[in-house]
Parts: sequence; C-alpha cells; structure tokens
Amino acid sequence: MCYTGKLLRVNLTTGQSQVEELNKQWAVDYIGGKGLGIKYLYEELSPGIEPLSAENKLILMTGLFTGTIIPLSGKLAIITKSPATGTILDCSIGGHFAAELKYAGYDGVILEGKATKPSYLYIEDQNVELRDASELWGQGAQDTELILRDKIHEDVKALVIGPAAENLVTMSCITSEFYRQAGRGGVGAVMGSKNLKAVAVKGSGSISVPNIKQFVDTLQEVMRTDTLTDTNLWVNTDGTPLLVDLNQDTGILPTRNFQEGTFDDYQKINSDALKTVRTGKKGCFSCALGCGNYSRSGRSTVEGPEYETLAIGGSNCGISDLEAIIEFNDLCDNLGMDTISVGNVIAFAMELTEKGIKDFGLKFGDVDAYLKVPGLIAAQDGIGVDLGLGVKKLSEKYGGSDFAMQVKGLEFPGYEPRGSWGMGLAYATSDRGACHMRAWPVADEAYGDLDPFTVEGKAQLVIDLQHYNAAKFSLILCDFWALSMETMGTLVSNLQERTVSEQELTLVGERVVNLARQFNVREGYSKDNDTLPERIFKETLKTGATKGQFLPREEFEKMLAEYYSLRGWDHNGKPAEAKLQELGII
Amino acid sequence: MALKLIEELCIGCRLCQLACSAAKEEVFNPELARLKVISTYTKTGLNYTTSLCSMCLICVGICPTEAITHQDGHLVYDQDKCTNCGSCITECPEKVITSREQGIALCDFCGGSPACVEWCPHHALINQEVN
Amino acid sequence: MRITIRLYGPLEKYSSQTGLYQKEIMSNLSLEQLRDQLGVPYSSVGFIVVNRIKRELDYRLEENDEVKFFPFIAGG
Repeated sequence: MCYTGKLLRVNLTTGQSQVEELNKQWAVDYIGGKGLGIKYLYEELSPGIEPLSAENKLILMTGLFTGTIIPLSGKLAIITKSPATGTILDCSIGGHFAAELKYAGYDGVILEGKATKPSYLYIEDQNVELRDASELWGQGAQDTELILRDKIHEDVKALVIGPAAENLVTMSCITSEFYRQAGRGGVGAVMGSKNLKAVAVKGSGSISVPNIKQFVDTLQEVMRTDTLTDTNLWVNTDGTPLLVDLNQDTGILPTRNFQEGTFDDYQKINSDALKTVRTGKKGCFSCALGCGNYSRSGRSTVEGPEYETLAIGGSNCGISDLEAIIEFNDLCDNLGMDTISVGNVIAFAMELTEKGIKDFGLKFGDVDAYLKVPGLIAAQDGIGVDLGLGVKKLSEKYGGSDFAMQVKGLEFPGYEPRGSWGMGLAYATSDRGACHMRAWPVADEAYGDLDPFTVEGKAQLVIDLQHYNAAKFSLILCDFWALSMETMGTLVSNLQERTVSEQELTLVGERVVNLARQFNVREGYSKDNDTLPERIFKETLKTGATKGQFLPREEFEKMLAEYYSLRGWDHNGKPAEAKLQELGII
Repeated sequence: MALKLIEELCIGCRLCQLACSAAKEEVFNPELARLKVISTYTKTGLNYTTSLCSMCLICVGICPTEAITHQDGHLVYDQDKCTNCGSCITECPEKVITSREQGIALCDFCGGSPACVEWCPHHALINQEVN
Repeated sequence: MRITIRLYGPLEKYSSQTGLYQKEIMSNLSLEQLRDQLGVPYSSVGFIVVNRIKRELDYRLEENDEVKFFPFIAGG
C-alpha cells in the first residue's frame, strides 16, 4: 500500500536501465527515504570504494508518504558515499521531484556506473532514456532547469547540477526548483563524477490509498490541529531567518569563524531585515507551511537566504551586508554549492589570513573578496583550488586545525556547541559529519528548559532525537513539522491499515542509525573521529548569554562514553554484535 | 460561485489539486484534478499559473446535448448525455475541462463546498460569489 | 510602569501592535501574568527573553524591561 513496488536501476555506463521489485522486507524494516536508501547502499557497495569513482552509487529514494495528501511529505532522500567525508551520506531535497517520480511509477532510482559523456536521464513513466547533455554541460543550475522545461515539457521536474559539481568540487550540491538543494557532503560531485547533468521526470500515474475519502478527512483534521499551529507557523510567518534573533539572544550565533556567539550587527541580517526585501512565499509539494522566502535585493533574487546562509555565510564571515549575503546565496545556488560549507571555508580562510598563517586575501567583513570566492571554487581557479578542499583538508595543508570547524570533513552548521553541549555530541556522532539534521538539541537546551552547560542527560537526548529524525526522514516528512512520534505512527497506521506504534517507529529509527554507523565503521571510522575542534574544548566565548562558556574535553568524553554505552556500542564507537542482531542488521 | 487565487497567499503546495483528485477520482494525482494551481520560478521571478473555473458558463452554452448544465450556482455534468464532441474542452477559456476515456471532467464545485478551498492551508484559494 | 514588548513569528497575531511596542503594566507583574494578559496561549510560547537574558515564567518585570516572546522552533 502506497509503494509502487518498483525501483529503477540505471547503468549509466551502458545507458541501459531495468525495473526491479522493491525489497518488501527492507521496506518493512526501513520504510523508505533515508533508511531504505542506506540499506540498499550498505548492501550494494563494497567498503573502501572511491566516492568519485564509477563504483559509487547515487540512490534517489521516495518514502511511504510521498505523493499523498499528507502535509509536508514532498521531499526526496538522496543517498551515496560522501566525497567530502567518506562516510554514508543522505541528503533531503524539497521541491516537487519526489512526488513526480512516484507518479511515474517508481519508489526509487539507483544510479550506477558513469556515463561515457555528459548526459541527462529522462524518465517518463516506463520510458527511460539517457540523453546527450552537451548543450547543458557548463550551464548554471537554474538555466539547466529552464532548458529542460523548454525541451521536454513546462511541467517536467528535475534534479540538476551546476558547474561546481561538474568540476567535482566536494561542496557541490544537487538542485531542484532553482533554490532547493540536496546540500551537503558533496552529493553534487558524485552526480558530476558520473557525467550526469540532470535527472528529469514526468509521471502520469496515481497513488491509491485505502478508504481515501476517510483518509483525506482524517488528514484535514490533522493538518488543522497539528500542522497549522503556532508550534509550526513560524515557518510561514518568518521561515528560518527567525533563528538569527533566537541565536543572538541565546549566544549561539556563529561569528567570525566561531570565535564568538553573538554578532553586533545581527539586526541587519535577521528576519525583520529580510522581510524588507521579501516578495513572496513558497513551499514544496504538499507543504502546508511554506518556508521559502523569495527575496530580491540589488542584482540578485533568491528563495532565501536561509538561516544557515545568514549565519555561516554572514555573521560567521563578519558580513552584515544583507544584499551581499543574498548575492552570495544566489551565486552558490546557481553554481550549485552548499552555502554552509562555502561559508565555513571562507571564514576559516579569513582567520588563516588574519592570523598570518596563510594569506588568502580574505578578511572578516570584506564583502568584495568574499563575493569572489564562490566563482573561484566552482571553477577551481585561483584560491578556489585550496578553498575547494574544504576546511579539514585545508587545515591539513596549512595548519589551524584547532579552529577548523568541521567533523569528519563536514563543516559546522550554524549553532555554537559551547552554548548547547548536547549539540556538540550531535555534531560529533552524526552519521555524515557535523550536522544539525540528525539531532537538534538546541531546541531543548538553548531555547528550552534543559541546562545547556552540562552533559547530564544529553546522551539520551541526542539518541532520542537521532531516532526521531531517522524515522521521520524515512517516512519521509519535512523537518519543519514538529509532530510527535506518536502522530507519525498514526499516519503510517492510516496508510497501511495496521497499527504502527511509536515504539515500532522508534525501533526503525534506531535500526537506521545503527546501520549508518555500521557503514561508517566498515569504512574505518571510530571514536577518534567522533570529536570536535580544539576551539570548542579550549576557547571561551566572550559575549552575551554564553559569555565565559566552553565545552571541557573531559565533559565531552563523558557524554560520548555515555552515548556509546546507552547505544550498546563498544568504547571505540563500534556497534556490538548483540545490538546489530537485536536490530536485525546482521 | 467562482474560484479565485490570491497569489500573495499561495505557497504552491498543490494540496488543492491533491484534494480534488482524491474527491473526484479517488486517487492522489494532481494531473487528474479539475483545477490547476502552480507556483514556480522562472527567469523573471515567481510565477503563478492557474486553471480555475470562473463559472463563465461557455461550456453550458456550447454543449449540444445539455450534458453540462448550471444548477444551484455550479456546473453539473451528466455523462449519459455526453457525445464526446469535445467542444467544451476546446472552448473552456480556463482550460479546466479535460477529456477522460469516457466523456469529460469538469469542476462542479463539489456540489457547493469545494474540497480545494477547504484544503488550502492559507486561504489563498477562495470561492467567490458571482453575479 | 512601562515595558517594551516584541512578539515574534506566529505570536505577533495576538497583539494589535507589530514589532517592538510599549505597554503600561502593573509593577511586579510576572512574565506568566503578562503572557496571560496579552492573550498568548501558554502552549504557543517557546521561551521568553528579558533584556537579552532567557527568563522563567516567574520572573518579575521591572521598569524599562525589554521582553521578547519567541515561538517554538523545530528543525533548523
């Protein structure tokens, strides 16, 4: 029920594709999206393969909820091995592609091999063609989508890459609907390494659901009472820029390469400032909230900037010029790069320059030099060659690893862990490197009732949040609907005509997290990599609500040890056999 | 009655189309909906494309067999009278009316309480009184 | 006594004023009482900041306090 039951497997090397049956047992155990994609990748990839080689696979996976009227169910999971970190990588992209793929008749697509020349894949129901992309190669992400709409159909949906991914930049992303990205970990570069410029889809099929009229009535009630509530409506009224104000006042706004937790000019880049240039709101397929802020300033228009861009690409670089940040966002979007990683590497390079370690000609607050960087990285030109390495490799080349704000090779998102110690654990233990999308303890610590400056209870908190997000991103639902695990169980029960409890969903979450961990262990990851930069363990913040705070290494180690113990992992962070058996992973 | 979109409130979620296809066709498929509301980015910015029944009644006038009639402020379609001539599809200025294997599909305002309007999360889609 | 108030995001609709605005209140009013006076549902408030410091509901307001009501936020 609600699966098409079909996967499309495409051999890009030969150009041939075949339809295969979705593994029913895996669909029960992992549901879809993140979980099911990781399961397929874990089973099909040998450890140690080069992420940018033809041996890597790129999996597009929809969820159980995709294509139905369940609000906020329009996202797509993209799973691969990360070129930035070498870990498992799952990204989540919005827009309208996922539903279209399901209407075309597929739960997912597995892309294998490497096309012999620049190509794009076009899927129209059962017709699948690998087509020549020579006129698309080199085009920006947005122009690529426009050309595809022109060539194929105005309503075609596409995943595209920009020039950065073509040049195998490991901070390049996959784009859809101009401004939505599968952002992190170099997922775009994997697509570029396969000579695949785009995947376009048109689907004419339908999705059936048992007792659809009753289902729709139930969902309308759910939408009114659970989605369109004050708990979630910040998404519509403001979107993520609201977090600038929250984080300034709680002292966790990354400033000048995480040297500070507050930014004096924050009001120039907060939600109020953004509203003066906002011209429209936009949401993804089936979204009832609509987080997208369409903004126009100077010569740029973007859907955004999101909080991460305002923080990591703004305060973190000492930049308070909103028009410049919008232009930075627009450049990164069209070139196809993750603003979080680009913003971080610029901030790191700014600090290296200012400290006299390596002169990149960048300074905190210098707008002109900052705006040149995205183009240089995308083209792999000038300082773009070094900066394109990312913060970890750049620090290995020149020094400054103490303030290289990354974990496992993925750069920090916009939350200062010294102001939310659980967040530090979340960054250190996330499956893809420093990430806020696996667990977000900030809500409970900085904004909530938990003491941010203790490790007490934080291991269990992070575990619970990781299970919740893993289950949510397997269903698939968007992060922004703060529904309970119980409600998620109710939605699944409605669709599947059997009762799925919150315990069952939590178990799915735990299974997914452990499988992701097992993938990483198989690649050689261990406790040594579950750590944070020295800055977090040694340097104190000096202003605002986090004045005087840092996260002592001994406290972090205590938290990490408790995390491993509660998870049933050994002291090296390896899941014990008993745990893997319990979860049915081995 | 007539459907109208207040663009500033529309987030392009397509819940209206999903609600319609569920109500009328008993499946989820926006292509089968009797309305179209698309918000998309183009070279010139955010663009809204709609096909909404405005109750212009051209289809009523053009139908040779009175398969489409106007009752209680909305359209009513009687497939038994339909000869598949396709005139209503051709003449509908909004491009709401589409063909089916047998006959056509049009917007009948769900008999008075349109599902699309009920579902729109931000009241961008409204049902206006028409004289 | 006079205080300044800001209701953020979806909380803004509970006031006829937008942005930062001034309000006369009784002295010694608690944040909880202020919230109720403003008609903001308790379940809608994420946290409250007074003069840039996060405060509990039993905090007693003082002259010229700047009070910000933040909504719940999920995700990031």
